[in-house]
Amino acid sequence: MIELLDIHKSYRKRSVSVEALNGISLSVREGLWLSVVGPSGSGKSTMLNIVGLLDRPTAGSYLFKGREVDALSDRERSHLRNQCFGFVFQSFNLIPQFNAVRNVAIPLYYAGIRRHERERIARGLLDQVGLTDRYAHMPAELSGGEEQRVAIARAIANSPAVILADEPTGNLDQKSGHEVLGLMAELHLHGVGVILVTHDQGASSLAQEVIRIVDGRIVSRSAVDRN
Amino acid sequence: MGNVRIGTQGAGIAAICVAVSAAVLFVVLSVRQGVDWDLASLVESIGGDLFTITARSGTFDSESLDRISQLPFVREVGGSTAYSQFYSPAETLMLYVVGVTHNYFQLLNLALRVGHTFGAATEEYVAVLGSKVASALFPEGDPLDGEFSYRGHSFKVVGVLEPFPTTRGAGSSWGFAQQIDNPDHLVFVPYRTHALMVSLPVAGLDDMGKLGFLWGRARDGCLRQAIRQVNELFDGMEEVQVRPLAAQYEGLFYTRRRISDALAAIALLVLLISSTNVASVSATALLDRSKEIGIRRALGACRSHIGRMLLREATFLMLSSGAVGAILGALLLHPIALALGTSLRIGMYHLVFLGALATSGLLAGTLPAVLGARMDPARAISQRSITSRSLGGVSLNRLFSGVAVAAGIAVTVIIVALGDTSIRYLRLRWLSPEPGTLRVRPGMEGFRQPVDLSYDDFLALASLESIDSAVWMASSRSAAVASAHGASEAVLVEITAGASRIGIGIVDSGRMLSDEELTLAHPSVVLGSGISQRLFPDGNAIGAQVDLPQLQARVVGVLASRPGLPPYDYVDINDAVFVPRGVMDLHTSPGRSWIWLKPTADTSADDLASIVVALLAERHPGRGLVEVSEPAAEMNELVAVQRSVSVAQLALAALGLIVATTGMGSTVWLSVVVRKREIGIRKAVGARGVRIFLQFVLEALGTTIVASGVGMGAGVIGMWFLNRNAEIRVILSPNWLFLTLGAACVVALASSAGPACYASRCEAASAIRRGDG
Repeated sequence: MIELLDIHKSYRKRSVSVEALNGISLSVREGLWLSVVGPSGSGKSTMLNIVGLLDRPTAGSYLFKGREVDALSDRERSHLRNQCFGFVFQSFNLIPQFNAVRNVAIPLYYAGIRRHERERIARGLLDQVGLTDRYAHMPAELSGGEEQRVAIARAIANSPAVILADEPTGNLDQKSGHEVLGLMAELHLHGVGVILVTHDQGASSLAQEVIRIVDGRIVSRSAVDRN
Repeated sequence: MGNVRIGTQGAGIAAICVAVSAAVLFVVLSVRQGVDWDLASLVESIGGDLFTITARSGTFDSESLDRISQLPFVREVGGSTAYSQFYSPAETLMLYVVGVTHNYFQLLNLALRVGHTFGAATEEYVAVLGSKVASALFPEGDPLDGEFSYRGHSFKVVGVLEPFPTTRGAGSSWGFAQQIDNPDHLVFVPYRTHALMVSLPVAGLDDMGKLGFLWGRARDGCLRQAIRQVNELFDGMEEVQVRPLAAQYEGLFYTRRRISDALAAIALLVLLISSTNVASVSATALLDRSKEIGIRRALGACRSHIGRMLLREATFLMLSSGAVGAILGALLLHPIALALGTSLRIGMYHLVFLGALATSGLLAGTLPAVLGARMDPARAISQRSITSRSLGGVSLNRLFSGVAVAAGIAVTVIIVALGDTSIRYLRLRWLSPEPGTLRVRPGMEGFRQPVDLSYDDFLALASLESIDSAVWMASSRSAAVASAHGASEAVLVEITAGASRIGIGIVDSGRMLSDEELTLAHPSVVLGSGISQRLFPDGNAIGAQVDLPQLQARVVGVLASRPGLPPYDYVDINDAVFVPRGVMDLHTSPGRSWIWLKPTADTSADDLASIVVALLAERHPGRGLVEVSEPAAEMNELVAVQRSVSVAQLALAALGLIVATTGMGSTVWLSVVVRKREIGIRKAVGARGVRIFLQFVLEALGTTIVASGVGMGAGVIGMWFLNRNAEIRVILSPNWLFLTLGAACVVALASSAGPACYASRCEAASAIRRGDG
């Protein structure tokens, strides 16, 4: 489903060029749970942004479902992002002025779904993540775990093929972290692929495969032994 | 201070600026609409299908009337003669008599209060009286069927008109005759009867009985065609002019229109400046929302989604504030109308308001929409986007604020220059007579017979002890004046010694007639600029001979061109030839004389005026109306009016300047937020709060000064453009330039003090930590 071929990404700070990704090649099949680990600044998040079409590689080729995505227009990339990817961030990234329902409904809005239908779907998704009694709560009125569950509900609003999670448990206590990972595992059981950037050993153990990135290169890729 | 507060504060200030600007524009457009409404009412009261036919020289006869009335597109035509005047011996009233056709009253919608008008072919001695004339001639009795005497004939009053409505321009000349205000002051007689009485064998007066002025009404909706047909009828007669009445009425509203147009243009500009403020604030608020924009992009929003959202928000802020302004303006209309005593109306011009609001809303939304849409989503989520793009953001924001300040300064400069110039223009037109100098001339008030000021009156006044100096001036009818290069008509004005001291004109070349020349009646003359140009196209008038009727005289001076005709003059001084009194018999017109009196140092102008009135009343018992005034004081009144207009314009310009410079505050906010890490680092290495404060304030000041320089340049270019196209030279005092610059700097300092203060109080550690956000 996801095919990265010799991806490079460099940033230019004044006259100095910084290589964030240095020739990454990666293939991810549909429904795979892939954990990405590595030290800080190794390029994990940058890779996740490129996979999620939030960023463009400096060089290399990215095929999504066999289609070259670099050549796509902003509108087409936005549509793919809306329909095929769900994002879960470490800091939840809910819009503080919106309540839980409206936060979940944002991807549905950009998918062109009518307001009434959006709200109905959003409520169903919040029910699914166990926040039935939190529809009208603002992000500031929710706990960290609840915020992240709202974020997960938002991520799956358009039934994406893959969830891209960047340290989703990084800002949570252990109990909330487990609950969030449990939700993601449940989604995975329903066929949703997961690419999880994490430092958490426990989180990576849920994955089917783990890759390790150091200095912008994949240094290892291994299957997880569940026994 | 949270980021949200920055956006909210800025948005609040920007919204207030927009609301105030919109309210001002709304009111000014209502004034403009009111001017048109007044004009439309005036035209409607007489009819938009009315047109006039005039002949610059010559007159019309009954055959002309017949030919015009037979034109297919002409419904009706009538006319009036020139007016003649007479004094009623018993009442000492001066009456103005006009000969008119039978349908004249119907043509001009002049309603009769009592009685009837006269028939088509009448040569009877009957009259219809204007309302004021009726009450003046018959103060106690019923004027209907009353009689009065004129040129040896007894006239019977057959009708009296209703008072002329003030909405129809009472107080303004509207075409009866140039010096008659309105029909309330007139005696109407059949034009054939008028012709019988005034056909005098005197040159220039032999046409008095004929129709000099025709009025026509076109068939419905056919005004243009009717005018074309009349023009075709008089084809070949270049001096016949056919014009719609509405076009002539527009002249009455010229000044009001110009002033309200100028105010509307300024108010429009202020609104546009307000929109740049909204743009700056919205761009600043974008910083707070970079994360939100990143999230939206991650969830599927494309650039156009973000752009549209931000455009919508800024436009909404602009439109909602504008709506508040419109409501405020509408609420203020009634009290302002009462205070100004003028019509304020809501109408088509307010479409300009809506258009301006929508346009400025779009302008305001464009900057944040473009900046927001261009944000990199990955960086925006991590709130690094603005830092990486901050230079562009701040520069654009600063550019917007700078443009606004420059526009505000340019407008202020031009307005101040125009205001200054208008006052100079007035002083030039009135020749700045010395304060205290009195002008005595025949009174023109009502119908009472004025005093014919004679030279003997002058001598009597000049011999008063309280007089320091006195000058006599009297004008003749037009006379032919010739030089070796050509001939022209001019008005001859006789003057006596002392003319140079009261300032009849500024000498452009040569000199004023000396007291010796004036006293000894030397054959020397001073020419007005216009007549000098016609007689001496080569400009060599000084020392040349001119031929006056029965006299050859030498030109000793030429006066500078004087704009317009001052209200106290009977003649246009540009077309006058000044000669010493006694050098020739000018046949000066009775009642067209002036006496200028300068009181002694220990006599006040008011005291002297009382003495003059008393003396003339004694010399002319029963006819004691003279007008004694102090031109310097009258000029000061006009200057005060002009100042009021200038102050209104300046107030609008100042509003624009304040709005523009408060935008600088938003720019500084943006700068502070973007450079928070820099602030933290500076503090960490030892910078004191006051240094940080000064850094941001000086940056705002620098931008303001640069923008002001650009604005002044634009203003000077605007003045240059005006100088090329206007009749008068626009001059700007440098003091105003410095004052404007100072005001801009003060407002910029005040508006940047808040964010600069915030920056100076930032905790170094948190500033470094939150530097990205």
